[in-house]
Amino acid sequence: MKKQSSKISGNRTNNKFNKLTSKFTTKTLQTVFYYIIGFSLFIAAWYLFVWLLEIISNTPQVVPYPHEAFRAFFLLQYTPIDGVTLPAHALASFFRVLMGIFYAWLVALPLGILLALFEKIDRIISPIIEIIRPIPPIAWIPFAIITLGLTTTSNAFIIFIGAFFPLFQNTYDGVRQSNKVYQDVARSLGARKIQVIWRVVLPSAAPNIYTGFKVAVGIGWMCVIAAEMMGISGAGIGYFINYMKNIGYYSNMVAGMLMIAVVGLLINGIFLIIEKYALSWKYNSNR
Amino acid sequence: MFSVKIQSKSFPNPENSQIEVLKNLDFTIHDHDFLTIIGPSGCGKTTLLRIIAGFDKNFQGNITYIPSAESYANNVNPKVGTVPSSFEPLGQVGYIPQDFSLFPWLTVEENIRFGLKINKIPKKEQDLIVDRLLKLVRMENYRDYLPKEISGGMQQKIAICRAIAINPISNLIVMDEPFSALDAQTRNSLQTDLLDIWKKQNLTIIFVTHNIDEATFLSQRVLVLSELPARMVKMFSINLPHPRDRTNFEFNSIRRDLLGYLKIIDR
Repeated sequence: MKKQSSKISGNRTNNKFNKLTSKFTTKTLQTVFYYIIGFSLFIAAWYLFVWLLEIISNTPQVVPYPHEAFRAFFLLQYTPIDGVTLPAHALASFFRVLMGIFYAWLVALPLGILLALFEKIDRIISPIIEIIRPIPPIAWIPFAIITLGLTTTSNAFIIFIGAFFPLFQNTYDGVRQSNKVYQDVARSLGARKIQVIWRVVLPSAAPNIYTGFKVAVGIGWMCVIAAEMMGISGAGIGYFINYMKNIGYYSNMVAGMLMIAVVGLLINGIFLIIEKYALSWKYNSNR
Repeated sequence: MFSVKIQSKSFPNPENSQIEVLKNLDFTIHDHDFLTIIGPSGCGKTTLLRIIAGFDKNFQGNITYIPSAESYANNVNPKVGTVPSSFEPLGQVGYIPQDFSLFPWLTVEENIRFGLKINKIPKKEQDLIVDRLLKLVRMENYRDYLPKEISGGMQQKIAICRAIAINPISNLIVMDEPFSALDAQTRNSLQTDLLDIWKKQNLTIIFVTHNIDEATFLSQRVLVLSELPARMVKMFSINLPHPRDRTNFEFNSIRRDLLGYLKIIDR
């Protein structure tokens, strides 16, 4: 483990490598320890809940115990049902999320920047966005089905709707809040308007845009599962959970939910890495 | 040499009228001058500075650059033109704000390079300039630090480096209360550093401050402005040699004179 030199001595080796290896410091181990405690409490509560249900009601047990759910979860990692394993379902859903977010980003980012920089355009386009914004992505599902059918495209469309607004809003806010002093300094150094936007406004808005992505991925992930449950397409985590419920395989059903949680954790991890590497100027307080 | 002639500068008022902020300003700045502009709060010092720096072109008057005989002969500043002419200060005049000076997403070194990159200076030359400037402020070890990792005083030193790096016309830099956000001790040490850089780099400095002590310590000339609309009250010359002693008699009598011009104490 590389020892980080003190700030006062002013002596430093490779900055970015230090940041990545700081993952292995005792601070991270402490965090992991607390995670384990919290998680164990959750599992204990789960056992308690199922046990109480069994005692209270006389009907056969519906909610699986943790060990049943985990067993199903691990089995389904490599055992296919109807030719598809659990990770394959998760990947299918995730792929749709990526597609939707890709198109959302393509539209939302330039729009956010444009509206934030040019007031006239803002006044014309903002009302349109404000009218569409209150309609939740799920409400678009019937519309998507009748226009685009039960396809991956209509799935991606729902995610597009869900991802667009956080991406747009955060980009817009980030650019609006960009400190004018930085822009002035850039101009004093000879930067033309385009250069100011590209080299000052965008980097200073980057943390906001990043937050937009984080929120968009979260919402996109929820949208895709809802869309799948409402009938769009024959593969994916939402579809799998619904299917398992319909045929009474409740352990598999809960295993599907666990899969969602695991993918969510992985996505969070990726975002953390991005934060540490590219946005440390804003977020990390230690080197 | 610069000639600043501003007959009038007004800002629009919420009630749709105009407030005149600057009036009948007419002064020159020679090469290697250290001119401090002082005046009551809100009198338009920053407005004047922003006009000189080129951010505000909406005024009646003009700013003229008159190259010295040497630079004319050596064609040192080809961007400007050959005879007394109006010119574009942006990109030619260094600017150091009071706060939020360094770009927080760039390291110290990248901050200094910023202007060089914009002006398409070749990389090898960039390296030389960055090395030289870091050495000048004795911060060679802080190349890869982010602005939030260094103190406020250090940030301002790097801001000065970044402004000097683009080789401004007549080495003119314009500083808007650059030390006001710092504590008293850092402020004093930075004033000394600034004078050091001023001499070594043969800079021309226009400095705005509220602090009379600072003005007396640093400047060769002091321009005292009145309250709104700001007019020239006095162009004051300070002939004390550097380093100046803040405790001696001459220093304090000059200080008292300046305070008097600002009507803070009765004369």
